[in-house]
Amino acid sequence: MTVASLAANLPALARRVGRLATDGWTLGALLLALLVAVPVVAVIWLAIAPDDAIWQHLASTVLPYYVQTTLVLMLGVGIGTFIIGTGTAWLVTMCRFPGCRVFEWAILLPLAVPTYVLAYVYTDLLEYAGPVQRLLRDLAGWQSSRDYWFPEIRSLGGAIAVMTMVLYPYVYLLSRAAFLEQSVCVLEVSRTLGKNPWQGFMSVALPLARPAIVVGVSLVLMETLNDFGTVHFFAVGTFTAGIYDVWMNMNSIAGAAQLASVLLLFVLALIAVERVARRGQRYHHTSSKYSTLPSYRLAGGRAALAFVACLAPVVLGFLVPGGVLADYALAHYRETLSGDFWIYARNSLMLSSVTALLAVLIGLFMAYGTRLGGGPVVKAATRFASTGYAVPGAVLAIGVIIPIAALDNALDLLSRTAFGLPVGLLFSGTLFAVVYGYLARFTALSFGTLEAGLGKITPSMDGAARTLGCGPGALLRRIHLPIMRGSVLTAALLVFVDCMKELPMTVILRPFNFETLATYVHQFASDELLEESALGALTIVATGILPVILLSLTIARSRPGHAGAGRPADDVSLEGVAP
Amino acid sequence: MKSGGLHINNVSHAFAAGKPVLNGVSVFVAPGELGCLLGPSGCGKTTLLRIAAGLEVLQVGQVRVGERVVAEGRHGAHVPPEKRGIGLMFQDYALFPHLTVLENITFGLNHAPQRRAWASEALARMGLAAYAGVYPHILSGGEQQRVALLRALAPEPQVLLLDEPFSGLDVTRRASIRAETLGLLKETGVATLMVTHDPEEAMFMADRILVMNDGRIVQDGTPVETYFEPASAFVAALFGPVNRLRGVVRDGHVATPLGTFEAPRLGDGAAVEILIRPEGLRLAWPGGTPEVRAGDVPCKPAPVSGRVASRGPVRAVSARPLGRSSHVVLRVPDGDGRALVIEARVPGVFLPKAGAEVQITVNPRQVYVFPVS
Repeated sequence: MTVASLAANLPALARRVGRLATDGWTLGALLLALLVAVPVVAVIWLAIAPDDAIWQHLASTVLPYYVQTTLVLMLGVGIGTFIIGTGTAWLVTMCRFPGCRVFEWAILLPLAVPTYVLAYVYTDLLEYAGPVQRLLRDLAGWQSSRDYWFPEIRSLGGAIAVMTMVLYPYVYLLSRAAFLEQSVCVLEVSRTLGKNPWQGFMSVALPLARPAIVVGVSLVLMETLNDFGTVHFFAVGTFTAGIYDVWMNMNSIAGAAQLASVLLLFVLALIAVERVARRGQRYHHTSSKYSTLPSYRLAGGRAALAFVACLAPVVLGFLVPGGVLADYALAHYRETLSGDFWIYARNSLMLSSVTALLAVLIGLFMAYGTRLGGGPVVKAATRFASTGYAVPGAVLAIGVIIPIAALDNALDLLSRTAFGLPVGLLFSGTLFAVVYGYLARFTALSFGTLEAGLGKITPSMDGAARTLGCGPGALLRRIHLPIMRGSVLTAALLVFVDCMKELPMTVILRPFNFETLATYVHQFASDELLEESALGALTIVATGILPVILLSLTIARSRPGHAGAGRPADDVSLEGVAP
Repeated sequence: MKSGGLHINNVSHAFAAGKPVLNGVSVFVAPGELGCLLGPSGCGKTTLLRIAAGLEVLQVGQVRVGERVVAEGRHGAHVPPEKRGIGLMFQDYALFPHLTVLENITFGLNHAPQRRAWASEALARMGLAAYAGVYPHILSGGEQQRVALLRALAPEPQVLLLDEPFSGLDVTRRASIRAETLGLLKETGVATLMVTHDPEEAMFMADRILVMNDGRIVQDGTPVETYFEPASAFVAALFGPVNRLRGVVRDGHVATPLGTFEAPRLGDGAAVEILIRPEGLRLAWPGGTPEVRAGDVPCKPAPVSGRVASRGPVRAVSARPLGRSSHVVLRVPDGDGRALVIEARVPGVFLPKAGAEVQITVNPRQVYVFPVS
């Protein structure tokens, strides 16, 4: 090829290279999405190829019990969160009573408390030796538990109550958004057609918000299935607790995998329900015209009732546990700090930061890959990778163990046949496995946040910047980076906080004797030493408040038609605040 | 005045093989001129703008700014959009949400302090001085439109492209913002190519209207030419609903229940479609005569049909006031015992009762005869 012909072909060549670069994005996004999805795939694969012997053993022993307990737990938590969530949402959205502006965000506070922490605190308060029963005995002069009846907190009912108290904000958030979105017109129409406010709520507002409520409740149920700390501590036999038992106590990874695959069916059903409901939301959009919502001004007894109805969940789900933990932490911080607290805190911090950084990098790559290369295959792959967030930690942990063990065995075999040198298990039971598990579950968070952020940069903004003299580099520097900065920080924060709280995957995947704040609090609380670990629990709750603040800021600015000065807020994806 | 102007020569484009979006399109807009691409959605207008701006890589044809070739088809030159000197204003304005109004406008000015002064001045002149430091999301649609326009004009482009610049605006504000925009564009002397699907907007803004359909330019002329001398039934119908009649050519004329019209250049026996604009009909009360102007054709029984049968009078079916004009639906007996229902739009208040008799004449300049394809 002569220089002249090369020069003539340069533009075409450049374009071909450009196309390759786009393909690079596609390929990279695809590979990362697959990597994140491997644990989910591993569990699905197990579900398809069950081992009959273990299967029959499980089916004849523990399985029916797990199914029944899990279903009752889901039903109870579902109903509880539905009532508290939609009720408080309707009150703060449509009624005016003292404190309702504060409740708008305060009702979210229990999101900051991990379920297991709430379980430890209430056990501590309500068990036989706890202050509540002691007080009752002192007041009534009872001598022992034979003299009176008191509900047992460490039970299925207790688990339902505890989970309802921290998970209802999901339903609150979604139904509140739905109520706000409803055109005031449809409510006014119902009034002109002779319905009173209560009838309007039941016959118009609630049915219209149904898809949003279904989405909220299915998120709650996914979190219910994910919970390990509470059910393990209460010895309630759900699937998640069962997976851990079968794996740890029966020492059967295959059995645990079988249970995990059944649990996955529950999750897939929930995902299906959620997707269908989300699609339904579009059809329930009543109008794009907004005006100030009518507000029913409450007075006297009604105002007091509304006030108590909104205050109670905040007190029970946040103020009581926060207060108790702060009290214990103050009393015991010297012992705690002189122990291994700093090591555990450093471990948590290190794991969470590394995961947050990686999750943001992977999420960015996937988001840009979808935007630039965006074929249907890439879209499907990134969507599938995002389902990891719905899969319970215990299931994902099993999904991580299996491929990593396979990789280790393959490496060992390779090394032995090639060099005659056994290398043993390289990755199993290492921090690598923990981080991989975290990524499989939480990349969905960063990807979702970053994709939403990127979506705010419309293609015409790119075009406008280009015609105004920006080359591709300047476009990235002057438009994308400044607009994406908020989303990147939000994504990192959400992943960080979720990693700080994570319990089931950490317990199953961590190296021997490696403790994070979450596992340490769980360990101490299980040994009835909540007081000593209160500082750790309080630290987790305090980090958990960060996304709640972000969320309430978003809520404050998200009112349609609300024109606040200053920069537009970054959207915080709802999934970002898993307890 | 700037030298140059925009030359788009013989551009063809397809997104998927075998489905051309543009088919040999040529457009020239002189400096200081405002050309309007008018056509239904999906006819390729926006693609043409994107190709001109360099946001879409040209496949076939050539784009020049003045004498400078900025894009050449078949893998020739492709000057990147930032180096073309072509401004583009998007339909959704695409204001940068993280920059203030003033920062948005000065975004394209890297080393031009005197233009910064221009930006502040222009903001003040448009009544937006108070908004210089705020973020765009608090602006109304009309204010956002003006900021987007100023931003596109700030770097003094030789060519400005406007993609449906008024479609996002309230009807009540549209007229005044249109006039304001036109004034600003004429003042800067930039060659402007604007895309719209609103014929009234095109009439108001354009020096030349380029009607597009199915990826081709089907007519290129002044607004008056385009309105009064449409090149096809498609162009005639762009400007609003028309009465459509069928007929056959005899001796260079075509007879209709509304009168006989010239059909030059069409052979005997050719099947034709006759389009009559509602505003081309003049009405009067019976006894009175409609205001007859030179050249108007009185509506008489058609002699060519040879059956001057029992044609009854033209009667009103309904009439509605529209403010400046009235909309009247009429039944015109066609001589065969049936009747034709046509619509007329007449100035002022003219509201016959249903069934009332009406006198009717036709302005032949608003009657167009095209062969039936």
